[in-house]
Amino acid sequence: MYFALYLKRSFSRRFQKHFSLYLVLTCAFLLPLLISFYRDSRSYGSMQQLLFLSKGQTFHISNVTEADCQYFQGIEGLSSPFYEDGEIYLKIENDEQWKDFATLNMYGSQVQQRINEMGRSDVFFTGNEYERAHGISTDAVLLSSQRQLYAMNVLLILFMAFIVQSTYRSHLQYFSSDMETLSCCGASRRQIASIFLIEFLVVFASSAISAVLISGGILKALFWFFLEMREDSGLAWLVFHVDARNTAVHLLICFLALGVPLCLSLRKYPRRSVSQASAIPKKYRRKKLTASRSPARTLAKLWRQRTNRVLQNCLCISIPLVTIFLFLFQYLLLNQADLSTPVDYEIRVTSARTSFTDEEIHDIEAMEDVAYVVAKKVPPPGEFHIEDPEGGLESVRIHSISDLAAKNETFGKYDAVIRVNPARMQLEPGGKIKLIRFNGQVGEELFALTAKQVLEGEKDDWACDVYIDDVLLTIILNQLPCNEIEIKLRDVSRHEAVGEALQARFQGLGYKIDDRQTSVSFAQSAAPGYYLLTAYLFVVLFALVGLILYTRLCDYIRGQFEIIKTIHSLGASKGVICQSFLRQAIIPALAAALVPILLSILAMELITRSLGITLHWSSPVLAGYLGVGLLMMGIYLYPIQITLKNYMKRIQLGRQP
Amino acid sequence: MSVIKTESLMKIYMQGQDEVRAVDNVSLSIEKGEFAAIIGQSGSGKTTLLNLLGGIETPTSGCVYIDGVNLQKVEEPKLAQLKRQKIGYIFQDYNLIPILSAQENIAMPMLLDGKKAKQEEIERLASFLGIDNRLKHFPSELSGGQKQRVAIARALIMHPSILLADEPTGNLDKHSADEIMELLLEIHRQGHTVLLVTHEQRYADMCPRKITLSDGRIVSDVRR
Repeated sequence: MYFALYLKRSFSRRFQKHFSLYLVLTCAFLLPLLISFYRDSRSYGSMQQLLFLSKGQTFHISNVTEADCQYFQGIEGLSSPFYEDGEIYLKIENDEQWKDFATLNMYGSQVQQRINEMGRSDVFFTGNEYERAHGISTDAVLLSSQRQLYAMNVLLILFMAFIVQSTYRSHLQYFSSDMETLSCCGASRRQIASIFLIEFLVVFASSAISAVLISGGILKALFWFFLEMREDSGLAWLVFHVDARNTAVHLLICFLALGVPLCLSLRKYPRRSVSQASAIPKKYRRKKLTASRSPARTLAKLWRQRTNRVLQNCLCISIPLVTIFLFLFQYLLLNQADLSTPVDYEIRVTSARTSFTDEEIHDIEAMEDVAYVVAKKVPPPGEFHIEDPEGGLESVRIHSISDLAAKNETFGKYDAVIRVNPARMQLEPGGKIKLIRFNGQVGEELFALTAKQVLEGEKDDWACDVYIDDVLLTIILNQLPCNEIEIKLRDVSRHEAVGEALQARFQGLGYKIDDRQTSVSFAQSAAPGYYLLTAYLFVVLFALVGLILYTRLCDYIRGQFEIIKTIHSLGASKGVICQSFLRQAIIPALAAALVPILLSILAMELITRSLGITLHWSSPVLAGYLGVGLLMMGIYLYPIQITLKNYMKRIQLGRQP
Repeated sequence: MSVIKTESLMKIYMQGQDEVRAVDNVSLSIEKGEFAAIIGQSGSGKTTLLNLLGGIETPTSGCVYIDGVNLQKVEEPKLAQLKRQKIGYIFQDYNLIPILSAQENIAMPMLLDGKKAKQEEIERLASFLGIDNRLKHFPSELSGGQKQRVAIARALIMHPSILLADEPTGNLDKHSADEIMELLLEIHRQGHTVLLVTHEQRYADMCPRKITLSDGRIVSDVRR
């Protein structure tokens, strides 16, 4: 009963204090939840995309009519065929067989046999593994980035918990007199701890619910208007989704990260006596307070030397948070600008099997909206190999020497610079290698090359890269079929129509149509959404930083109230007292404004240099930085000024804060 | 000549919906070099009246004159200067700054006046008050009597003409309280105007003038 009574009184009479804690917790939850929801949306989008593409079926047989279903009847272990939109679908009925790759291949052979029986060369099939047909992504890149997002989110939660803890400690400090009173009234430590734990649970639950609603609502709106991607365009799908289990796990991590230190903090109360809390740290004793040029300077020195280093602690919170945010903001802008940059050609058609004929190229040129086409000869992966002096054979990629560095005079036509994956191949400089081109199963030796220089490459899957003379490269490329056509459009907005016309013209397995404009168009249409998302993150982050700093700085001034009152009664004017605090805060405020900007610019400069991109400083970006700087200064100075003004008024009216 | 003068001084607090008249229409005059005691029961408005005289609180209505200067008319920086230079204030609960040593506490009014602390002056005062061996200590390391002596030294360091003492013996044992009272009498003998707020009759009886407050009003003003 006394729990309820105390909590009721505490919440109603110290509403502002509880409300500020509620706001801090809510803001702290918003960012991790936002990332969690974004991650859920990517996973869900991927699942939906896989289900859309696979239709939940094992085999898709293309270029068929409904009447062709008869050819696929009665395959033991497969479902009855059904027809939809030019495709026949078959499914392995036993899930265990489907999961087994050998069995899947066996069924694939049976389907191919039935296609062969049809006697039509344009009919082909595609198979879906069990995971793909059930929407389970096996894409290593996606899974890796999802894991990275998760790890980043857990780190963010721990960091948020760290900064919220400091606010909570100051919250507890505020209520320490209540704890002492309760203790004097006979409440045990366990009872007092229980009261404050229940209070924390109430605030935590309210904040968690609010944060879920706010983050979910805002992300849903952004997805609705800008970010949702569920078109059959080849781009990864992004569909808004909240996974209740993931959200609960995130909130549980938040709860544990906050709750455990809170329990540890509560153990200190109310044992810690007031005299202990106000004891003067020994390190302050050595510095003697001396007169400065003005009373305000003297007092500023007093606050700096003899009171808690709250401003330094605030810097530990604001500098990392704002630096990370500015860096991400700049990176997002750069990325968005890069994605939205018009491409040099909009559509690419590649042929994996044959060379494009003159008729095919002419057909494309004749299409409406096509400005011009460029036919190219591009070596497909696995086309070329090298044989090292020991007779080992490895796949290579061939490049022009000019891609690596300026060619020097001693570099001959048959010289090569080889970048070798040390895990796959060993080669000494000066060694002879043979360049071989495979045509089906037969290897044809093209040239004997001298390894002029051997470089150590990345330890990825690729064996090596060969950099050769431009003349030699031209000879090699001329031997290749014309296997790639780049298409430039007159009107880029017509890319979908041209894409559809190309799909109709180049049907079958051998062709691939890559509409590059789709991703550019999506990036351009999604750009406002990403900017709004950034603005939302900006507001949340600054609300969090602002609230934490406001709470801490107000508590700091409140902690000095008796000293301020004494100093005022001794003849320090309001102006001198305010100036002294502002003077103390001005250097940390400047540091809070400038250090994140400088650090983020430095990090961005390093990143762009490593990527070989030039960083452009537009006036809106500079204005943004200036705004952030001013905002940070305001966040540091405003709470001090407003609290002092309020307290000075109270002192003159003879009231307590 | 009056060094302190009040005219129809009022201080009203609001406690919820209720109006509390802490000081109710007080007009009084304290002459230069006078030692007056303000006496009354708890809640009679003694401390509020002293705070109004010392410029710490602002009255709801009425005026306070210090050396002919109307505190309600001067600007805040001037008022602060006047407080530093003309008024020394001793508080019942000492109001020492816990993060400063005794010596730094004594020097604080000088630092606030933009002056360098005069070490010999501090030592002279400390010696006079019997705390010369306690100057390096922090308030938490001093006894109640020692704290009050530090507070008196701080009140005197600027050589103010007026000393306002708000129950300086209230938190002390009888022996320490008697010593502090003796010190105040000695300070008065040195020419300071002293206004002592107390609820102890025996200390009020030691003063040449006794002003009795009840419910914020002066009910008697007796000169010996």
